[in-house]
Amino acid sequence: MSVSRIAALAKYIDRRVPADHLVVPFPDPPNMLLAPDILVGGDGRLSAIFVVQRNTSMGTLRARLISARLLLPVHTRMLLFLSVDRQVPYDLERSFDAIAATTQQKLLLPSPGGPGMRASQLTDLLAVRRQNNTRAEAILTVVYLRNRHAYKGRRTKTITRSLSRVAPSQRPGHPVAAELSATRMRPPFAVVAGTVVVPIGNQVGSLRARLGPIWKAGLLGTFSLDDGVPYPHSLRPHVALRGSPTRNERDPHKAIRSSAFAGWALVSADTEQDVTLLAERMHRFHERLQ
Amino acid sequence: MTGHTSRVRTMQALVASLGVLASGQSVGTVQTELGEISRTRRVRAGARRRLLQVIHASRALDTLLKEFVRYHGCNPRKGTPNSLGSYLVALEEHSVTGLGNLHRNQRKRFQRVIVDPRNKYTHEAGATPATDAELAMFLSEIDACLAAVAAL
Repeated sequence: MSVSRIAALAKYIDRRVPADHLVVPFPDPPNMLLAPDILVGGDGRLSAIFVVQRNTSMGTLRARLISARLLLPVHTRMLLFLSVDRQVPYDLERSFDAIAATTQQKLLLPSPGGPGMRASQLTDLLAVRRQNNTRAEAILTVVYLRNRHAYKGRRTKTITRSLSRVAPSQRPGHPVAAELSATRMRPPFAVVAGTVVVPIGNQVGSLRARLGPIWKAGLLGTFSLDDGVPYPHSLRPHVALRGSPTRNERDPHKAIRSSAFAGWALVSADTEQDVTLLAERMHRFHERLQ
Repeated sequence: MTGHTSRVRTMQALVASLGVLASGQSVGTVQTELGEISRTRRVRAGARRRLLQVIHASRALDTLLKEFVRYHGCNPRKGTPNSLGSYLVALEEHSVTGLGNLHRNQRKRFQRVIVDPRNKYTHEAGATPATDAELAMFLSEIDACLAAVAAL
């Protein structure tokens, strides 16, 4: 199923929902880098539809679902549509509210009532969302303050490699670092006092291309999905060093916000000492906010 | 769908999902205001276009927060919420069971990047966002605030 087929699925749903419902293919929530494929909102309810295609990465699907659970309204129904015959890991399947195969598109239509999360799941989810919001606020406070200063932001890879030589023993076993190592980019990274530091390249490309790998690593390395709830191992903020600004001109702060909600402070820095101090201060500030 | 349209439609879908508006007449007016942000992009005069977009976005957020606060019975520790800034305080300080709270830093940031500029643009003669970049920043924060409230 291609982009046009997702649009076709959206049209199918649009023809069958009440007129006051909104069906949005390829939505753009302001705090999410990679969103669900379709949102359906109306009558006090929201559904988020994720479409599995032949080339869908299960890791990216997992990260997108985690992000949606953390950032969309808490009662959003998360629906999985299997447009092709693909195996989805069982624990990931269980984390959706409903699954539909190609012949079951009607299951994607909004329906009143229906099973939602259990009370205990909801309590856990609300607590996790609160904790992640606190971490994001700590990051955003620091990032916006730093943005008032003119850091040149050069030598991001050199700084990172230099830091990785200082404390190589912290790298193995760090879950976010492990996820970074598993990405196709395999960027150089360092671990400084428990904080992962990674450079964002200056390559030309969309926001999704430049930030997608670290965004995904940040979410998968921090959270484990259990029956729909993303439970965190550790909510320590991490540092993504940027050279040139990573901007979406339509939404100038989307890069900063979406990174923050995935655990990354998107900043410029000029020296190794600056990065080390930043990591320590951000961690302490985050602890004070909790 | 263009990027701008996708963003506006996303915000409209989030608004449509809020039970607080589903039962009232405000949903139509908020959705209309959000739609006007797109339609006023066709206004050629830059300063006039930017001011119109500020007004429509502000009115959408103001009405949404007012209805949300009223529906859920959110009250700050002191006073009664009756302005955009006080709605944000109510969303930070309320004690409604089962409803999330805005984080203190989040509320302060929205005060600084939305409420203060909004007051300046709407009350000070001659004040408008000077550039499209300044407008984009303002609209970006309105979207972030709206999404944060929808997620409470």
